[in-house]
Amino acid sequence: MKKESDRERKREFLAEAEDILSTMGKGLLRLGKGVKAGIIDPAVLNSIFRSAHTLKASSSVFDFADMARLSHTLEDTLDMLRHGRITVSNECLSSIMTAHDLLVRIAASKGRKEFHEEVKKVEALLSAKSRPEKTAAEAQIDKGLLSTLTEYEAHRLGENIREGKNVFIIEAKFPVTSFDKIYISLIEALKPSSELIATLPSLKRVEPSQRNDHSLFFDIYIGTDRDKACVVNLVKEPFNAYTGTEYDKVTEPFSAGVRGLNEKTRDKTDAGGAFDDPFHISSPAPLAATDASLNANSLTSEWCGEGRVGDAETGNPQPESPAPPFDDTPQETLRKQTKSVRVNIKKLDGIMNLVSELGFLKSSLSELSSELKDGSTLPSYGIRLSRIEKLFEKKIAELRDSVLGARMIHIGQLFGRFDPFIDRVSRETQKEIRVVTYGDATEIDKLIIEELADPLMHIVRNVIDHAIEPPSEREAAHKPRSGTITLSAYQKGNHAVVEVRDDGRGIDEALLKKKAVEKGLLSFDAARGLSLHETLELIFLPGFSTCDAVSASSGRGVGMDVVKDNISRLSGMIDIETILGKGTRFILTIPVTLAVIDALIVEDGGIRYALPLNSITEVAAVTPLPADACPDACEAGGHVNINGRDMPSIRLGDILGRSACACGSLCSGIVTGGPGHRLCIIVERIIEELDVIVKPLPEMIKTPCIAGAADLGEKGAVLLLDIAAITDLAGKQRQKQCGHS
Amino acid sequence: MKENQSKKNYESPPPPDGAEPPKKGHEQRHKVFPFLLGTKEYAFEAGDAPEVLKAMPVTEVPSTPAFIKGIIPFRGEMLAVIDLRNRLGMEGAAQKSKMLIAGADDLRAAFLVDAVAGVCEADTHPPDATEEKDVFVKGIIKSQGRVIRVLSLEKLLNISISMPPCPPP
Repeated sequence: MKKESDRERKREFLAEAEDILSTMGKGLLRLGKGVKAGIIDPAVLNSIFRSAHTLKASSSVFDFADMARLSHTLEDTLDMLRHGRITVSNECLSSIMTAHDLLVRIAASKGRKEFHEEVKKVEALLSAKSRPEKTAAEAQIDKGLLSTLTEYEAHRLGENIREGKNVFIIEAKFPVTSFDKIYISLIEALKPSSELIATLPSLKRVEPSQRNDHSLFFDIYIGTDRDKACVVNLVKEPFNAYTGTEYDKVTEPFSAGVRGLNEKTRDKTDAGGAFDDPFHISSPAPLAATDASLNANSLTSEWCGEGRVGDAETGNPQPESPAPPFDDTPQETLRKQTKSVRVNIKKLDGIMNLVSELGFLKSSLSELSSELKDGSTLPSYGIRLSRIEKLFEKKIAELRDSVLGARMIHIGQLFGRFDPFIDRVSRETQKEIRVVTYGDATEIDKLIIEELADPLMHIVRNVIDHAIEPPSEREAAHKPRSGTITLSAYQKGNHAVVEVRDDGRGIDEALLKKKAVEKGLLSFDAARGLSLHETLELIFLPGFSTCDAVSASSGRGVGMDVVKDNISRLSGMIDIETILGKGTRFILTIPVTLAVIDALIVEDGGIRYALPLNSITEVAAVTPLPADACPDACEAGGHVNINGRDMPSIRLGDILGRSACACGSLCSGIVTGGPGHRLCIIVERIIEELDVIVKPLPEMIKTPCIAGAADLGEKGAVLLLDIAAITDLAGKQRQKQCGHS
Repeated sequence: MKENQSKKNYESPPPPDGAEPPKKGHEQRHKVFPFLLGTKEYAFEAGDAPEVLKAMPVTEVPSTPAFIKGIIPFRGEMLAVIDLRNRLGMEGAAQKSKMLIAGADDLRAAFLVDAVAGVCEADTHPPDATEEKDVFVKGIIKSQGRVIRVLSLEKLLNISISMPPCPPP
């Protein structure tokens, strides 16, 4: 029992992790855009940090050690970024994205795989980036301190750190009476070897007992080449000259840029503590400070100043601006902010089943009401019943739509996953890619979105690998240096159209044909006879690739065939448009939902079948010719003429291996497919049009050409035909017969 | 849901009742759900959650093995309908067919049997390899001269397992 609930919780965590990672991915993308534009939104950085933080916390609870470790490292890096201790550079961003990518994979493996090695690698990458760089030396300065320094002082402090000088704070206690004298001699003593950066009234370390002591406390910041001992000696003198002053401590807030050094100093200081007064040296450890109490505004302005310093130094026109630190330590709460409920899609399926059962009840009601109306006995009841039945029908429709609505998610969620992916692949291929998305709010069934993810990924990968030219080539062709991939979606009736468009080199028809012949996928003559559409379809052949070199991501000829399979499994269609040198468009037309489909119920050989209405272009009465009338073309395939167009036809019974409808008798022809791949499927008769809920067939039944089945209530189940598979099979049979004849 | 009616239809002697004293050896007491195929008695384990379904139209599915009669919709999913006589390599079609649903989740199917009875408890022992040739039998109940063969649902639903050809006499 406990195990069960553990598993349940683990599942929930994984689902949550997926969400968190997707939010993080979106944030990273915006950050990436910000880095390019030179503006970094602290809110974005913070949201990414929060994602990493949440992930770290929950992954350690659920024993995802790899994920916990990596998200912890990531959190550290991000924390430094958001506090401006390191700048957001492209390299840094890319290492964070690598980490994000790995986290996504860990989550996807559901904890079944080991990622130790990879985590280690990525961690190394992250920590290399998160070591404060020299240019970012000022980033080490404690915020508390910064807010009290003037811009110039902060600048000098930064410069000193950048130059690798030792910076010390002399915490001095001056007697009120001799303050001026001691101060002046102190400055005189220090001047030859040090730069006086700032003198600040010290408030922190004054204990209440000493406050009335007629003493003044100051922190004097100096930058020097000398080491601590030397400074201590210098400082000692002026104080010793004036008796009774118990002055001071010398501390090192910032050692020369490297954190490790600072650690060492700290050790030394502890040892120094042993020799006690007046040179008690302690470390205020400003590096570690994350002062939540700080005023974010004042910090931001300070940091703008620092940012400018960075620019001047690097002379970089597109500065790697340090992120303005932004503090919003979230208040502890167990309440979640989100208003959405995570529901297992199976539960929604369950509700959908109930809706369809209600539908069956409704049909019995409507039969009853029409019987009553027609019968002479109780016509008035019949009318009333039929009114109720109409209302019932309306409510069922509403219920159905709202359940369907609950399954819908924005395709933007899917598009968002592409940014890190495109970013990574473009880096691998050293191409510059800009991603534009349109229609993020287009709603598609969650299941379809998931089915769409891989085909889209393969398309995008191929586009980056083959279509988008390297920057130099693009410039030579008078195109912008970076290629643009446009992901767009819009709804079109019961379908969603998802488009991947690029402005790359386009698909070379002649090259496709040549490669197909070379690889023995096609005979030379067959290749010559192909239409443009048929030629473009070649890229979907398994094992087909125009690329001779196999790259890490594509070129093996695997992928595009998967695209075709997945899309047809969704009873969707895929079309390609291409202009050589200008770009290519992949147009995927997919149903918005598979939970309910509009189906045409037909009968053939005494069995009823359902055909998805959205893959049917027209229906006509046809008379199939007897097989012997066309001796070369066969038993499976023939041709019919529908409205003046000649098209290949196939009898449903033939393709399913059952007795087909009789030749010569009047049958119904169902035309499917787009231009170029039309097929007329001949069935005995058409029964009706129905909304059906499609269910997968039981595991043990594997039948080609059947996509699933739908429950028709009293009438039992009806098989849903897989139009794409039938078209393919018919095409293959036809080819075989051509080969024979 | 239809147990009562099906008990009425059950023409063989009542199943062994639970009061029988437990026997020694590697026998185990199991709840089983016996049914008839011709004159032979078979059973599913009660753990397979068998239930009787009222007759409903079965939709034929093309290009499937002969023992799969088709599919039926059942509680929002599609179940394969298996002709048990056929699956077990017995002659003849089921006569007074009853539909028995057994299994859970992915491992669930409807079986055509001749008659069914309610759940009963009995001692089951593993089949003796010498006398039992049937690969689908995972246990045997012998009591009061009756032999009930307990079937393995996993094997029945594993399409790659088929009845071995009858050994030459």
